[in-house]
Parts: sequence; structure tokens; C-alpha cells
Amino acid sequence: MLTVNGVEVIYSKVILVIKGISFEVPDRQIVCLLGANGAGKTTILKAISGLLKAELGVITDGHINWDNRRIDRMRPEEIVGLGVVQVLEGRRLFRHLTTEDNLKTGAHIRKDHAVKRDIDMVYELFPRLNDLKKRTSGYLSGGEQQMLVIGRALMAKPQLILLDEPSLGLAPMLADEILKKVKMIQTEEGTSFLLVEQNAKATLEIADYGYIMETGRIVFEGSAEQLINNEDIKEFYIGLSELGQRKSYREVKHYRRRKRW
Amino acid sequence: MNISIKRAMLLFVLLGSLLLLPAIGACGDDDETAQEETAQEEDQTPTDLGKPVKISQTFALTGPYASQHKEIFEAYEDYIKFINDNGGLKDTNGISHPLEMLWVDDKMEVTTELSFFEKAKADGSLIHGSLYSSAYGALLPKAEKEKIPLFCFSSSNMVIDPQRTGYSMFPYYEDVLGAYVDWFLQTWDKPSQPKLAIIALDNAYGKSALGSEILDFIESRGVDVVAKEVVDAVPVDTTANLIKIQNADADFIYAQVIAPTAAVIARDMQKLDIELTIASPAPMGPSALLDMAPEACDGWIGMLWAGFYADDDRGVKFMRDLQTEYRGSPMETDQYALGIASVMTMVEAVRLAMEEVPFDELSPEKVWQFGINRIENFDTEGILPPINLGVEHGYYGQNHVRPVQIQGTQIKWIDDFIKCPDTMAYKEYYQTEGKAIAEELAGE
Amino acid sequence: MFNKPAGTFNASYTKDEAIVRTRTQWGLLIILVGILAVVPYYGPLASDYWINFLIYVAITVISVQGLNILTGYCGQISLGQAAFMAVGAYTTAILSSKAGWPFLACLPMAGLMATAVGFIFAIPAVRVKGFYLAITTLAAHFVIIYLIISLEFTGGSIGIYIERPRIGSIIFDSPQSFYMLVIGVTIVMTVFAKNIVRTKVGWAFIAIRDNDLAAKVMGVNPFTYKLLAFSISAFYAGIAGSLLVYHLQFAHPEHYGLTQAIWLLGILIVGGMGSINGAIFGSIFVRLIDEITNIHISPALGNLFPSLAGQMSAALGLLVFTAIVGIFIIYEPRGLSHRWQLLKASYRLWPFSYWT
Repeated sequence: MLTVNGVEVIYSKVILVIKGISFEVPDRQIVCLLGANGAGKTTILKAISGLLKAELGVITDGHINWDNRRIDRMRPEEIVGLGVVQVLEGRRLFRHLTTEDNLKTGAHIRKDHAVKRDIDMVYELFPRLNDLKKRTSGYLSGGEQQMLVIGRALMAKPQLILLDEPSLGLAPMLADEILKKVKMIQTEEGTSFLLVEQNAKATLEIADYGYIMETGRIVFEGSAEQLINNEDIKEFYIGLSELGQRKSYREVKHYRRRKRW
Repeated sequence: MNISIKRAMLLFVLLGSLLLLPAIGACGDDDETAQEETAQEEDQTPTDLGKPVKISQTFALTGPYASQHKEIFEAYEDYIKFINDNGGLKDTNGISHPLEMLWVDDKMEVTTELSFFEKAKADGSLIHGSLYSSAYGALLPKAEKEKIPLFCFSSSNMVIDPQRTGYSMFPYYEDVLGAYVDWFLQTWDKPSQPKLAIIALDNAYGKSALGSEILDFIESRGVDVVAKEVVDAVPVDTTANLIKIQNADADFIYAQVIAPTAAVIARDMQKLDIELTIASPAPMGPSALLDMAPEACDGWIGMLWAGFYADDDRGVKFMRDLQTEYRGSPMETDQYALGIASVMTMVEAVRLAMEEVPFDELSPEKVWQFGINRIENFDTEGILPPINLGVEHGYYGQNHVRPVQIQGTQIKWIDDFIKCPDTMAYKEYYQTEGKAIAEELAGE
Repeated sequence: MFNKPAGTFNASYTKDEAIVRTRTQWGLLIILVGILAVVPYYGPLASDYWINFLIYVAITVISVQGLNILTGYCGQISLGQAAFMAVGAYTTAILSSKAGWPFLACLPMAGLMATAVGFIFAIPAVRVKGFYLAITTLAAHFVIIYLIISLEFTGGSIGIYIERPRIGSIIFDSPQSFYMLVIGVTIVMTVFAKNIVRTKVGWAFIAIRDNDLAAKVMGVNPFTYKLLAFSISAFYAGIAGSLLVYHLQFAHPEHYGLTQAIWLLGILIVGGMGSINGAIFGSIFVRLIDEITNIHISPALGNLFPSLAGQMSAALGLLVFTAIVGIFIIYEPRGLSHRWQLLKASYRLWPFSYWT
């Protein structure tokens, strides 16, 4: 289980991005972080995976625990070793390598020899990749690339995958397919996910629990069902209301309150 | 359509390689027969000119030495034209042979130098020349093994340490510094111990002035070395170095530098009002310094071994005639004189060998035995003092320098040739080991 | 009948991963080694001149293979390769001339010494990227060459002469025998390089090159692996330097100039970064062009136009080199090895034009 407790992140010693956030990702669950651009979702993922330092970010307060071990002071490769793998936003694959070689790099930290079997497992999960295994990955389509980076993360045999905007730049159909695969991995492999998304509706369909973030704070949380059924959220994120003109979740809430009075 | 293009290309490549294979296989034989044929044709032609005699020389026409080496290159070209215009070289049967120079621009790369050496060897060059010491060092083992006489233009001490069997016609930098110290002491009349400051360029050439043997020699002459300043090739400012020298109360300065460095030093000396005797060896080039800093370099002394600095000189007249004939006008550059002296000596070695050995039997080894070993008191039209290269002389062409001074806008010889002192222990080495190698090669 | 790779399907992963996969490839490989062994004795290249050239190409191949691992695979530009060659060369020269070590002891020692020096300079270098890295390695070059000129035991500006290499009682005196020795080492080093880049270490290098952030989240420690790449690269440079100094029989600081380091990078670009074949193609191609321009064309042009001899023909070699590198950067940034791959692919697909 991953617990994030009162974490505060400052970039370049001056920009306060995360203003004390606490949440948790239980084992074998999909937890999603929703929120507008600039809310700090990606930053919190990087804080967990240890990549903040590369961008001059520092965790100034709070702590992050993974299976009762503090990981916020660890280097990225140590965190990967513990079974927490991040899938970066923007489909960062090793574009000169073939599909299969990309998958092999995913198994970098592993010492066992079952790598081939896991490659086959990934192919089973994404049959499209099997057809393209000798293709240079730079030539794959966007959806295929996204499948590949998720597959690559699976090769590390993670217990928790930090998945950053998998549907970014994909056609809605493809985005749905990717999210279905995520659900499949969770049920079949028992991997837990911390999923950052803009597409709230599709995400909440597969997630178990969700948090709404806004300008570095968590403003709302609840089970997926609660979130879907919450009027405010519906209106602002899911776009089910005709009043979807408000600028932020907070404004929507105030507006509603006013209306109730 | 793509398929047909591809097929056509494949066919073309296959056909091409089929055609090439026998051509490659027969390549070597073809060349030889072709050469023989042309040789026969040449023999049959009624002219009295035989096959060319080849010598080889490398230049660095690209890189920091380009301007100097271009002058040397022109000297070689002019002298070879001069020889050919005067009937070439006569063999034992009295037939004249034209002289041909094989050359390359090695861009200061030792591997090009080595490659060219192998090509020159294959093309039948009788004597080989290299211009600077790092290339010479890599060629020497090969030249000794193949018994090809090797000349080096460099005066760096590595040419003689350890003394092997390469040749240089010029005094070594250490000895030149020794000669300068001795020359200065001739006019030293104060009771105190004279103090010398050395300014050295930050490279192999410059630092040879700071070797332990030459410093010991200077000390043995009763001179105190009070400052050893190392400067960049083209420094921004040498004031700090010069103030150090001033504070050390030096009486005279020796600057083992090149002209751009000297120009900066000269201006800084003028600024600081330092009026000390200062001298540099030949690579500095007083004429270049006069071009670069005409207002500040008055009085600078050059320890040269050849140059254009006297109108009545026999050598100067010879070189001026050459330049007028082949270049249109006399150019009077220092390095040209060195080039003429060098190519003259190389050609003389070939000429001497051709006096003794029939043309068909000529080989680098014969040139070594019958040419180089017989060069005694060879007169280079007065450009250099007489040159001696035989076994007895330890391949040490000549070791004289001649001081020259910048006087206003003129450069003038200010003394006659001075014999350099032997500042290093290489002579001992030569007597013990080097001579044995030399005698073996000389076939004695 | 050719056994086309297009029609050969690998039934097991072991077979898929083998360097040499088909019988045709084995055959071609054996023929290639055979040709390499015969070249100095028969045929058009059996002269001292061409053997000398081949030796130099082989030494270049070793050095470029090392640079390829660092720059081509791991994506770290380095201008220090020539200086690391100098370290290998001087280690060999000193051990061989002053301590009398034989070839088989000098060669690995040269590699290890270069590795050690490379490691020291890599510690600051791996912390920076791109332009700053280039400057850091440039500094490494100047520091090393400065030390060689200034120290006493390196022979300073005088240099060191060394004897021909010997193994036991065999002295590699003739160009042919030394050629065999160099080619042997080159083959071993090339196979070694091929194996490095096929393993996990190789994947890690590529991962760092293509996307170091993604590499980090894959559990690759960029610091460690960059250090490793620098060290391996320096090892190759050390071996190449050692062979070069045995070839020249003389060590001098001027032989290891900055231009050499730039040539090696240029060769890597022309051959194709991140390809073992590319390092070989590039070395042969560039050195051959350079040799022909310098030794054959340039003096001939000079003799043809005597008034221009000193000016025009002189810089020709460098101009041609620059032009070639420029053309490759613009039209074929992936180098000769990419051309080779396209050729292989079209051969496999023939008579079809594309993969579907």
C-alpha cells in the first residue's frame, strides 16, 4: 500500500506546487487523480517515483511510504526495485529500439530468467504488439506506443504502476481501449494503479477510488461511484450538466451553494 | 515499377562486380607490365634524359606551421627546377636523369606521414625528409630497418636523444641557447654573476629550452638562471611574466617562442620600459616579428643559421637569383634559406652515390653508404657553414649559429658564424652505441 | 541456394538472439576472416604501403568502437578519445621501454590504465549533458596532454622509442605479422563490443541515450551506467593507443591532438552512431577517402597547378573530410550502417518492396 502523507513540493526553491497532500493507494486497486492542468498531478507522481530531483523539485514536508518503508528520500532506481514503476506522460519509449527490445529494457532491474515468458504475457495482453515486435518503436502509432510503454512498465513486475495521462493525444476509442487494458491488468495480475487523467468519465468507470486535485490541494475524494454521482463533479468534469461554464470545481461548488440558498 | 527498378539495380551491381573481380585480381600485374613498357619506351627515346631520380619530403601545409612550410616547399621546388634546368643528375654512364620530388601535405598527422613514407618507399624514393620531430620519431625506426636515409628539419633535442641515424643540418635548440649564453658572456664586463631569464613556449619546442642538461650547462658557465617563464603561443598579455623577470633582476633574456608570441612580448617590454638584451632562435623568424610589431621590436636578436641579411653574401645572391628566375621576384624569407640548404644536401647525397653506383643498382642503402657518408665539408653556396654527415661526424651536419639583429626597419647580421658548444651528453652516447649502428648501416 | 533470413523463422529465443543466425551468415563470416588473413600475402593489397594503411584502419576501428559505445549507444559526446589513446600509448611505451614488459602484459595494462584515467575524468563529466559535457571532455583532453608534456617520466616533449612487440620468443617485426596481431585484437574487441551492446548493459546505455528520464523510471541508474560507458570507451581507446604506439614504435604527445578526437567523432557520424558495423564502415570509408586525397590526389593537383601547390591542394584533405561529414549529417544522419540495413532489408524482401 502506498501512503502519501502531508507532502509539500517546491520547485527551484521558490515555486510551491504541492501544498500538503495526503492520500493512499491500497493494494490491487485503481486510484485516480483528477484535476485540471497545472493542479500538480504529474508532480505528485514524480515525487513518488523519485524523479523530482531531475527537475529541481524538492519534497519539503511530509513523507511517502510504500509497504511501510519511507521512499521519498530514495533514488528512482531503488524505488523501481521496490516495485513502483512510473509510466511517463507523452509515451517516452526508446524510439531506436524495436518493440521487443523496448520490452526487454523494462526488465532491467530483474535478476530472474522468466523475462521471455513475461514478454509473451505482454503480447497476449496487447496482441497488436506481437504483430509489430520487430518494428522500430519510433514508427508505431500513438496508441501502439502507449500500449508499449505500459507493457514495458509491466516487464518490471511492478506492484504499483504510476500511470500518467495514458489517453493524452489518443482517439476516444483508443483511450477507452487502453483504460480497459488497465482494468484487465489490475484484475488479472493484481497490480495496483495510481492513474492521472483528464478524461474523468472514462477513468471513473474503471477506478475504485478517486481524488480531485486543484492548485496543489486535494479538494474532494470518494469512491468512484460517489464521484460519478456527485452533482458538482458531474457538472464540472464529466460534463453531464448544461451549466458547464464554471472555471473551477470550487466555483461550481460555490455557485451551487448559492443556488441552494 | 519499384520491383523492376530494384531488379535492374541488382543486375547492375552483379554485373559490375563480375567485371571488377578480374580487374582487381590483375591489378598488380597490370601495373608492373605497364611500368616496364613505359620504361622501355623511355629507354628507346633519343633524348639523353634517363628515368627520374626520386627524393621524398613531407610538409605540413595545413596547420600552425603552414606559412613556414610553404616557404620551405617553394625552396625545394625551385632548387629541383634549377637542377633539372641545368641537366639533371649524371649517372656512371654519363646519362642525365631528371630529379623528381615526391611530396605530401601531412596536416601534422603522423599517420599520413607514415603512409607517405611507405608510398615513397614503394615508388623508389632514394632519400626521405621530414620536417618536425614528432613525425621524424615515428619514421626513424622504419627508416633504419629499411636502410633509407632520413633527414629531419627539426632542431629539437629528440632528434639526437638517443642518437640514432637520422640527419639534421641545423644546430639543436639547446646548443643554440648555449651559444647565445657564450656570445653574451664575451661582452660581459661587470664583476657580478650574469643573470639569465628564459621565456619558453608552452609546447615541445619551447620547453626544450628548460631541459635539465642545458640548465646545468648554463650554470657551469657561471650564469644564474633567475626566471623560467612559460607562455602560450599567442598570449593575451605577458606583463606578469616580464615583471617577474624585472624583479629577479635579470641581465639578459632568451625567448624560445614564435613570432606572434615575440610580438606580444616586445610590446609589453616597451610598455614596462625594459631594455634588456633579448634573443630567440630561428623558428621565431625576425622578419615575421618585424612585420608584426615594427614599433616595438627594435634591437631583438635572432640566433639564426641561414637567412637573407647581407647584400654581399654569396648564398643570398644565389637564392635571390633562384627566386627571381622561378618566382618572378626575390622574396627574402628565412625559411626559404633553410629549405635550400636542406634540399641541396639531400641532392648532393644522391649525386655522390650516382658517381659511384650504376643507375640500375641505386637504392636508398647505396645512397646512405656512398652518398651521405661521403658528405664532407659540403658547401651550400655559403648559406650554411660546411656540412659534414659521415659516420665520423655523428650525423651532426653543422652546429653554427649567426646572430642577427633588428635595427629599425632593417635586419642585419651582427656577427659571424659562431660554433655552438655541446651542451648535452649525446656525443658520448654516439661514441658508445650510435656509431656502431651507423657503421653497420654504412657497411664498414 | 541462399538461405534468406526472411524465410528463416527462429523457433527459440536462443536462436533469435545469436549473433550469427543463418548458415549463409556463418559462411560469409568465415570468408571475411579468410580474406582478412590472406590480404597481406596475396592480391593487390599485399604491399607494405597497403598493410600499413590496413593496420591504421584496424586501430581506428578499435578506437571508434569505444567511442561508439559512449557516444553512439549511451549518447554522451566525448572529445577526450584521443587523449585516452595517449594514456594507453604512454602506458605501453613506458612499461615496454623502461620496464621491459612484453606485448601481452602491456596491451591489457594500457587498456586498464586508460580505463582508470577515463573513470576519473568521467566522475565530473557524467553530471553534465550536451554542450557542457563536450567542454568537460575537452578539458580532459588538454589536461592529459599537458601532463604528458610536463612530466619527467613520460619523456616530455622528447618522446619515447619502443621496440617491436613480442610474445614469448616471437617478435612481430614484419608488417604482415604485426597486421595479423592488430587484426586479431580488432576482431576480439569488435565481438566484445557486439556482446556488450546486446546485453542488459547495452539496453541501459540505449535507454539513457533515447530518454534518460524514462531510463530512470525503468530502474536504470544513469550515473553508474554513464560512468561504465566512459570507462569502456576509455578502455578501447587505451587498447587502440597501445597498438598505435607499437605501430609507430614511438610515443610523442603531438600524435594525440584534438583533431584526432574530432576525426574519430566524424568517422562515427559517417559510419552511423549506435552500430557496430557502422564503426567499421566509417573507419574504412573515411580513412580511405582521406588516404586517397592526401597521398594521391593532393600532391598530383599540386604538381598540375604548381602556383597553387601550397594553397589549394594543401587543405584538400580537410575540406573533403568536412564535406563528407556535412553531407552525411544532412542526408544520412544515421550513417553508412543505415544504408547497409536498408540494403539488407531490400535483399530479404526481394522481390517485394515494403514490409506490410
